[in-house]
Amino acid sequence: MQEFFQQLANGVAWGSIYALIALGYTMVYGILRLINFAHGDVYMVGAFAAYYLAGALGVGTVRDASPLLAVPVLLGAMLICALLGVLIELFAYRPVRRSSRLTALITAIGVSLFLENAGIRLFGADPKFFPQVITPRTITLGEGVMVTNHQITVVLVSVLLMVGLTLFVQRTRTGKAMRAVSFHRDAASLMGIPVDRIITITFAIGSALAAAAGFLVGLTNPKIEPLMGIMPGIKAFVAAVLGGIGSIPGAMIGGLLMGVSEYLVVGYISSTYRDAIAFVILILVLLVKPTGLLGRNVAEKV
Amino acid sequence: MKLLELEDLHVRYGAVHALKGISLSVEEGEIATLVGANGAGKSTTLRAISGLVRPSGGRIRFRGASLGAVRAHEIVRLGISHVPEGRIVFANLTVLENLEMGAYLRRDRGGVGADLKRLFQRFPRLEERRRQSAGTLSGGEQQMLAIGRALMARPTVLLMDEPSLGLAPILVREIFSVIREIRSQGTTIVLVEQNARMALATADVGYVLETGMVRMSDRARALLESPFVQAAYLGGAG
Ligand SMILES: Nc1ncnc2c1ncn2[C@@H]1O[C@H](COP(=O)(O)OP(=O)(O)OP(=O)(O)O)[C@@H](O)[C@H]1O
Ligand SMILES: [Mg+2]
Repeated sequence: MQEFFQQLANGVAWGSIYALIALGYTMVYGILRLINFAHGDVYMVGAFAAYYLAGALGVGTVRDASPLLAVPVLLGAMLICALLGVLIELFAYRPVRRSSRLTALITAIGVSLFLENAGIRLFGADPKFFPQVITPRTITLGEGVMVTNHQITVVLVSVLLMVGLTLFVQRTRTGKAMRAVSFHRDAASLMGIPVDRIITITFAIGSALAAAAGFLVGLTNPKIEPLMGIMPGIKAFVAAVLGGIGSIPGAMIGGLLMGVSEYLVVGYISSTYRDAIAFVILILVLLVKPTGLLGRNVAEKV
Repeated sequence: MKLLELEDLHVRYGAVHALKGISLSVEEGEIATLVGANGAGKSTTLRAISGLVRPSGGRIRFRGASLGAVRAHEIVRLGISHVPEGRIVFANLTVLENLEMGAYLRRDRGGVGADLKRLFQRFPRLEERRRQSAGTLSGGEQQMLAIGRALMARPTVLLMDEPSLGLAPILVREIFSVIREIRSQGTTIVLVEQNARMALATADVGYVLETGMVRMSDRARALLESPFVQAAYLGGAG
């Protein structure tokens, strides 16, 4: 039982990161019916942005730097990626918005390759070590289950961001407009909603959340490198599909389930199969319930 | 005064030449109706006015100014609202949120609140269901919501695309009485209808569209009595 709770705790922490990334996939899909394959790479850029910002602020490297400086590091990385998301939308996706889906898909793969190679050029192919922005500490919960203060931070920050996102989407005028645009673009523009601007905002928010995931992963798994976004990107995409692509709560649940399943596989089967579980889940979802757990059961729009 | 004028309007969807030179004009405070068979180009005409499709030729003038390069979401701000074919209420939003989206461009909270109150008085069913997702409404309720949502923008001109489509006769009469009420409050209406008899009986002027062209236009009463219209569009209907 102790083993189970330990893997559950690890899975929830790791799953929160998937959930944050999955939100970006699901929001962009919801609004454009586009799978933004570059999203995992935006997460990578977020990790590097946090890495360089932490360096600039001396967090984790200078002895007596306050751990509170982690906050501007996180926010700065989110801002940088929000901007990157806006640029990707404006310069890569907007020009092909009226083209076929295949064109959009190829564009997405192109953006992904571009970011990966630009990352290798700019940051170097060798892994970098994320600074210890917060001094690590281990906390023993009941029954010998151990968690780190990093894992707790990951979960808390993720929950905070997800609550914020939910309130934004449910309560604000822009959030409601996002939902209207994702339901029907033309009908939304007939309300006077500036559809293009709403799409840009969606990319900004999704990318900022990916940056937060990049920062958080730096805390718990400090080795970062330019191709680090590929696997988590795929898994977070599967998490979004599992939750029902297009659904925000679905992405959150899907991410958590993905993280927990991975760690249960690690704990009870073998860490060799850790990466395989994502594909097993993907195949199962596509076979059993392609709309995912919370997906809208609507026919695909042409 | 001519509020809305279309002059030799052409619209193409790829190879399909949907509008082949439509000219029409709508006076302030009038109801103008466009009638015609499936595929005649009625919806396309409305979509061109509200900026959802770009004309390939001709001119659209609203209060004398060209709408040529104005984008759909900006046209709403100028005072033209469009109740689209098939209603298209935001099924993933609540009834209240749908109405809020109708008032998206308005900043006068007080005025919006007052308009909501009046709307709910007129359509108590919508008020009862205000917190419910719009997708759960019946067809008639959805049509009322679609109309109410467009009115929340306080339009000068209301474009309505087949508001009676698929509704039971009692609801069709209800919709037409709503249309007359809206006009009596000073809103100009362009009404597209397949139910030509009721549309012509309600409207001031009528245009008969055939394959992307205006086949006939006249006062609505006159069209109602025209033997051609009777034979082609009113035969057996209603
Ligand atoms: N998106 C589109 N792509 C290609 N052709 C289209 C498109 N929309 C409409 N058309 C064509 O343009 C013509 C006019 O269509 P439109 O929808 O304006 O007709 P309508 O009078 O509103 O018909 P209905 O009574 O069926 O609503 C038709 O021939 C139609 O097939
Ligand atoms: Mg039509």
